[in-house]
Amino acid sequence: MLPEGDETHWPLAILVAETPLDVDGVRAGLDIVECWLRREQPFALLLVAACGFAFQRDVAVLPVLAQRLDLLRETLCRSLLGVAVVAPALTVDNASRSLARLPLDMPLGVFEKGSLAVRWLCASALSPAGIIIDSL
Amino acid sequence: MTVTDRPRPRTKPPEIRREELMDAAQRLFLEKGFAATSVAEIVDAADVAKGTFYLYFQTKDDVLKALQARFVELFCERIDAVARASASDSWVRRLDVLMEACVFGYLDEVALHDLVFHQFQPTKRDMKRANPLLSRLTSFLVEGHAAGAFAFVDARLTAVMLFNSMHSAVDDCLADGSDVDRRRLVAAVTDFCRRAVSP
Repeated sequence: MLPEGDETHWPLAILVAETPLDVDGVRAGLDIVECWLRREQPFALLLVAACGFAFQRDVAVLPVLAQRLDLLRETLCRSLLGVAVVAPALTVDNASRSLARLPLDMPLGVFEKGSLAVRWLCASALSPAGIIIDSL
Repeated sequence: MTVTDRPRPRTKPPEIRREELMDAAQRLFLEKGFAATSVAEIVDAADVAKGTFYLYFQTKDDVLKALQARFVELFCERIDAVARASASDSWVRRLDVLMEACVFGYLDEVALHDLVFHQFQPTKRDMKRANPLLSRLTSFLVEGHAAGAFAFVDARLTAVMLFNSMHSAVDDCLADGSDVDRRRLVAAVTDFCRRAVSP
């Protein structure tokens, strides 16, 4: 199952992965993020890993992700204000370790609940940039 | 690539949006069954994008838990309203009214009851123990006992037995079909409860 993007709360962008993502799934997710980056508008990303963290099982995934993020680095730095990951309690530690390995110099956090993740993103990424999400 | 690009949603208080997601899920769970309903169907029915669902719930099971909490809350509100409306000075009459309200409350919402409690297993006994209706019934019995109207050894356990007697009587009648003789059932339950706490 491929990830789904939700931009109804833009500039809070939500990417939902309901099954662990393989390399193709990660590529599809990155395509969606790239599409958001092309808007050249600041935004925060909420990644919902509903069935466990996406990068847990497939060792090939992280290098693909890192390589692609490297290519996007400049745009990412310009537009992406922060990333919060929502993952089931059992996978939070793994998710935090994986996230820490990604070359992203911005607020990054892992949470068990979407509501907490959004609150944190608003406080640490969006509000400092003067952005308020009025649809939440 | 899948991106849900809906028109900007109307701004709604989080509790309203959460209730709308729960309403949609409840309708679908009752129509199709819990297992056969997907998160995608719930968000379609609630007219929100999938990401929005995960702002409020972690899983489909999480929605079911919320529906269970809402069921219990509404059931208790219903019982409380009936208890308040019962102006009788007679503790026995008030007990009758309380048990009747429980029987009708259960019968009126049996499909929803079965949905939200379908996960009950003996290993989850605390789920039954935490029933707020039992706390209300216990308090009622304690007050009636202090007034000299009721007699029992243990208020909490008596409440548990009265509640489970009512529950089992309704279940037994429902086993014969949904066309339950309510008056006869209420008469049997209230008679039993009166005798159980009679001094």
